[in-house]
Amino acid sequence: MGAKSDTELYLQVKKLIIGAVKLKKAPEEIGDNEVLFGEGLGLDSVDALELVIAIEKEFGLKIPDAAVGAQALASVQSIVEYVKKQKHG
Amino acid sequence: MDNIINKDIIDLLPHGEPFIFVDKIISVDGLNKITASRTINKNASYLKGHFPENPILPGVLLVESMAQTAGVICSYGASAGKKISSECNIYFLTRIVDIRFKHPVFPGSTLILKAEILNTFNDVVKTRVEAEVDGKIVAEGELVLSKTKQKRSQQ
Repeated sequence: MGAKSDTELYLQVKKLIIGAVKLKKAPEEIGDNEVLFGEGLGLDSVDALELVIAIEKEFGLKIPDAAVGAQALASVQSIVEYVKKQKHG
Repeated sequence: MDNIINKDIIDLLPHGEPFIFVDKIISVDGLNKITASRTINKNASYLKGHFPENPILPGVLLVESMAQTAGVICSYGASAGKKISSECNIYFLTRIVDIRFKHPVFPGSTLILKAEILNTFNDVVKTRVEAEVDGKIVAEGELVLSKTKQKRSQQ
């Protein structure tokens, strides 16, 4: 399977967030650098758990702890970067 | 490992009477699965109004029984099976996910309450819960609990 383009990966992550936390938004309404938690998109700690479960399932990778999670889950861009790093080292 | 099976349930929960909705722990499997029970007292005051002439256990109280069961295994798991009555490790219910009520529960019934930890991230725990009466599932779904900073009261 060929590597996904960044555009595809960003869209995939946005759709994943919407599904995981049942967000009433379209993918294009979420900015690549928009803060996901607290101010910004307004996700909470329970959403973080749902998001971790969804990311781990979708991409077959692990988010080992809260410190890694806090960085990786900051925005769509940081999730995309984390996924790319885990997948391709 | 601390044996919680014969412990007084009040020592395992941050709750107090009259808000204890689990009678006893039946079994614990590792640090992530638990089975408990609760018999519905025919004389419980809330049954008089829910419903007059047709008493059944209110669904919210069934959820509370499942949440308290899940709370015990979360505290137990978080303390790695050591004593859970003295220190913090209190979990509050933070999300009810898709709980389904399948059959009414009548006064005098004994609920078998099962909870299993599915995922944990950053002090937030997702659990799968089930309640059975006479081998039949009466309610099931998922509950999310979150660890709080609050300490248990020292009694």
